[in-house]
Amino acid sequence: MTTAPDPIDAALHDPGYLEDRKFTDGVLATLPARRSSPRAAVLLVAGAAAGLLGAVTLGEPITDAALVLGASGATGILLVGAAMALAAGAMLRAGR
Amino acid sequence: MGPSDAELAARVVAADDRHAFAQLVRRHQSAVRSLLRRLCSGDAALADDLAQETFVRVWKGLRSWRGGARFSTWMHRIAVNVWLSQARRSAPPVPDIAEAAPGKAGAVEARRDLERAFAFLRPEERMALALAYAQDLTHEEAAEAAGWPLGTLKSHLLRGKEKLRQRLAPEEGAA
Repeated sequence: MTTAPDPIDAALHDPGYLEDRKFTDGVLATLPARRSSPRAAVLLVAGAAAGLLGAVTLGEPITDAALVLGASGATGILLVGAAMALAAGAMLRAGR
Repeated sequence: MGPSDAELAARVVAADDRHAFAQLVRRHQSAVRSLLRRLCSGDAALADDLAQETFVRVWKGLRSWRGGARFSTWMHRIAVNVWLSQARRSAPPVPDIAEAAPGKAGAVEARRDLERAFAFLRPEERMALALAYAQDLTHEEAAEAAGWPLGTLKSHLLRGKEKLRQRLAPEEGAA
């Protein structure tokens, strides 16, 4: 003896196939242009923070550090920190 | 048979390969849109908007998918989270009794009746039913996608199914 199939169960099992009808095109059109790596962003922020900390520690006003590029060691630290972070981000990206 | 989900995802992560991502979307769009139609009680336009948002989140978060869960389980979890966010932002719709009454037509209309009847379920019952009957998911994966223990999924499933049975019962008696 067989039991009749549960109609609710059968209906739930059959969601039906939905044709794409340009759905995928719509998704692709809304994708962000370029995804940035969160790790590279974290490294960039950390590098800049390290540079700023160096500038503060060496006593140079941050406004001066921002304006006088390359004029002192503190500004150098700021720039080197940011450059290293950028390089690390690029290397991470190239390595994937 | 084409490349696996994992292979396509790896191409997306390695080179932002939009062609590979399009293949993933085409492969899974029907399952995700069907799931969201049920969660949205048959509101196809809203479900498609949420499905689009789901795939954008998949694109952005693909690097975080480590392959611990199957791709489809991970993607269904994102879809449920997108729906939950939307449900929290907007007041729950009042079910339209007349609209939710069972129709008489064929499979397509029966499917719509079923989707509309989801409006009478609590959110967790909708989630349980929509995920447990989603194409390609086991009950264990459905529980994982919902973030519940398996037993919780099963109890919501039983209650939800019973409510659907009561809601759609008149149609079963009609010839």
